[in-house]
Amino acid sequence: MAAAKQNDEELFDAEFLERLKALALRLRKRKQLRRKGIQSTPATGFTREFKDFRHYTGNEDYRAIDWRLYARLDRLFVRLYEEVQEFHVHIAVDTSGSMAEPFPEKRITALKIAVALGYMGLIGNHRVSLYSIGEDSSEPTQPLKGRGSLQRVLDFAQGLEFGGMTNLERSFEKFAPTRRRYGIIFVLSDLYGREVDEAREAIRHAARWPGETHFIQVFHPNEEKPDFDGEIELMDVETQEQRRLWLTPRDRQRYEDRFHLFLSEIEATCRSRQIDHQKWRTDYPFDDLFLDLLSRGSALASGAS
Amino acid sequence: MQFLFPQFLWLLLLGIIPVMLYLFRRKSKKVRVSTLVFFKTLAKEHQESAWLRRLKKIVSFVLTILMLSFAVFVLSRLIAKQDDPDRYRTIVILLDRSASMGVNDGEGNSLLDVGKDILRARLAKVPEEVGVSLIAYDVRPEVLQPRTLNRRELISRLEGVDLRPMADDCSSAVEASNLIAGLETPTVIWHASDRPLFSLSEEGEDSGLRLPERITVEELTLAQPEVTNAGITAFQIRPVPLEYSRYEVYTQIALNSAAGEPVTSRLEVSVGGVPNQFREIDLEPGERVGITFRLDGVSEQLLHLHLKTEGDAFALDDDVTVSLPESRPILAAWIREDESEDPYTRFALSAVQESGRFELLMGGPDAWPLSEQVDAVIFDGWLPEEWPEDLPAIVINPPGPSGPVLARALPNPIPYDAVRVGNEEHPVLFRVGSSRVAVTQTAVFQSAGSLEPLWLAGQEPILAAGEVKGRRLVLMGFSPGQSERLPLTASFPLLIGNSLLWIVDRDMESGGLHQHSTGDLVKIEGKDVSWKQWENGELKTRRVPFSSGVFELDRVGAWERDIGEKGSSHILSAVESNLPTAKNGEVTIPEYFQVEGGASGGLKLWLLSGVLVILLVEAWFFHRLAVY
Repeated sequence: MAAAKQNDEELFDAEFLERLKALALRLRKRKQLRRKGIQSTPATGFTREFKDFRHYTGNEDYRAIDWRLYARLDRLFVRLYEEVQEFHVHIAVDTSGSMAEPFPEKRITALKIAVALGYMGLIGNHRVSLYSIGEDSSEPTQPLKGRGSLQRVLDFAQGLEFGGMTNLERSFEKFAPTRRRYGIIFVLSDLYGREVDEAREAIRHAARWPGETHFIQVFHPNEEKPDFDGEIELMDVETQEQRRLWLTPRDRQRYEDRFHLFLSEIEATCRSRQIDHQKWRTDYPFDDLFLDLLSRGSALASGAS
Repeated sequence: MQFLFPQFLWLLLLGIIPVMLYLFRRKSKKVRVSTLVFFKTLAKEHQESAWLRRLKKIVSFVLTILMLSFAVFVLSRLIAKQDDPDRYRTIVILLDRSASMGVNDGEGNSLLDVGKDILRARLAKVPEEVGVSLIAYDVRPEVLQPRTLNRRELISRLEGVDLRPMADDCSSAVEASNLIAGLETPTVIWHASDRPLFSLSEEGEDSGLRLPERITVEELTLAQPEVTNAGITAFQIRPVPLEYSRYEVYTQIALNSAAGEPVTSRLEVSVGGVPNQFREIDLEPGERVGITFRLDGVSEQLLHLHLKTEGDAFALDDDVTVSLPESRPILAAWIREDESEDPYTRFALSAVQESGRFELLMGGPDAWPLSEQVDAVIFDGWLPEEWPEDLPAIVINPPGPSGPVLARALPNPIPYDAVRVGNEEHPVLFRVGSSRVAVTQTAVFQSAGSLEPLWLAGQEPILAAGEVKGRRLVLMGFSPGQSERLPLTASFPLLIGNSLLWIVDRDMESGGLHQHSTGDLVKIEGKDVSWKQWENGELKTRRVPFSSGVFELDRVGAWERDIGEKGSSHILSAVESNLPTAKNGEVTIPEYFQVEGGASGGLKLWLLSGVLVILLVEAWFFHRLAVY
């Protein structure tokens, strides 16, 4: 299959990315991370930035008592300081053939999401690692940090070659960032495997991943609701397998039912493993879906640092 | 193999349609999809492999062509032909539908129905390639179906054969069947009748019928083993001369030769529905008895003769129904130059006129030609230059030749004391005392040809009678006025009266009544005919319209046209009433079409079975083995 590449103009929407500056990524759960970043968290930390006072309790370190305040108020308070974290943002993009053909909108959408997420990671001063998954999981890029790395994110997205088969089981098994790189993991894929249940089986590997995982399932509306019927000869763009069918309206309805069942099964599997799952139909407005992604529960940050 | 209807083979061109459909079949739409996994979960029967798909396309094409070919072969009637040169190629069914086929077989069926059943059963065994013709005959043959291979049409025609109350005449039927049978030989003629085609006559004479080569006859004799029939085989009626409202009837009663024992028949005569008289006749088998009787009645009354015989099997010849003929007086014209010279002829004519049977118009030569229609003309002492060929005539004392009268007047009449009689039995001389006649000859004439001399004076005929060009003529070479004793005797009026009665037309004799045999073709005018016939003891009247000028008398009874003309038609056939018997009435199915080895006959069932099998195979292929 011919590899598909994307240019910067399609992936880099400056206006949209500018709006993203007001947003930030954050972890759902408090995690003691080694690296300290510039982004504050709801928790208190050990930085020099004052955050608040709190009554002293006996179990606390007495060194934290603000003696000056005690002298003034004759009561014991402890000073609380801001905690700023630095975590990893792992973005894995499915580069199998099904992401590019027959609907290139899926590829563009996935790359735009990846760029946007990468941008948010970079402006949050997190370390951003980019992956491609297909038959296998690629080695991650060197963790990127700082706004200046946006071009490298774009280069990565532009350089991805779409094509080949999908092996979700093997890709997800191999995709295992080290524990030191704990963070948020975004998987951008259509989750089409060789079998219907392959994706569900593969998702169980995500439970072991060091971070909070978000599956963003990208699909085209015609994949949900085929726009053809009658005598057709289908060809799988990945396996090149052909199959002749006489598709009746009743068959189309059954196909749609099966596709929706597939989506709901993926969603249920993710939910059972506390993994976020986002359905992303390419014809829906990108901005709305992206904001929806950010505002889903506490998965992602909603305020500026 | 042979196609009986090869003209249907052009339908094979319809095979172009599946060929074109196969060659230019719609290619399936190719669609690239991200994954097939969801399509694979659809019903398995909606999926098939490529090789099966290709195989099915080819098999479908072949089966379609095969089915079409088989269907066309069925229409074209493909048969397996036997090449035996002696095998019959044509069957001619010669079916008797005459009156005698209406005899009941004892089980409520007529012989005609029995014959049709037998023919149907036999036709079912006839191979399809054998052509069959159907000829029904009564008094004349009718080709109901020329040679055909279409059995359904033939059976339909056979079913439509109805009994006709007519005598049969098989000679013309044989002639017609030979004509058709000779078209494609060898041919067998199936003759279904109650009497064989080539039977000897009662006198032992050969019927004279012959068959060409390679044509044989198979008799399907339908006669019953025992049958008794007494019937009326002849009938005639006429007004009694010189008697008003009185008729003379002659009828002949016969018993069939094959009757088992003598019978006593009772002939009942009724006039106008009122019993008039009856006779009982003892009849031996084969005996014919003639009966003459007189009856009183008036014109237009219905005379009905009914013959009752115990055990009689054939009713159609037991009744005769006629309207009593009209007895209108004869209208004659008397042309005489000068009546005063000879009053005796007038006296004689007046005497005859008084009986009410004659009406007379009198006139001189200046009245000729006549302005009125008359039945006869009397030329007395004068002859027209142009002879009236459409009128019967009496010529008295001819002055010279005219037309058929080759006469010359004698300048000196010759008296004779007596005359010699040429033919004393002639109707003209009925009750005439020829021995006491003395006449004076006034003319000589030539009595050559059809004129018969009745009186001879010396060597010369002085009274002759005969027929010239269909019209009767009485020629008298004497003058009544100059004869010595003749005018004063009763013989002269009788002679004049007899001559008038004799010369008038036969229709006049029968009172305008047309008596025919059933099956006769008569020229009549009008729009419809009213039939009066006896059915189950009741007189029924039916009105039968007709369009052409020739009408076939196909019913028994009396008929009357809408313009008043009357007549009657009856079978009156001694042959038809002489019902035969047959010892062995069993008719078997022919075996000469059976084939001991190999296929023979139509392959329609095989081909239709093939079509059915193909349909089943195709259905199995495309529904059992999955369809896309």
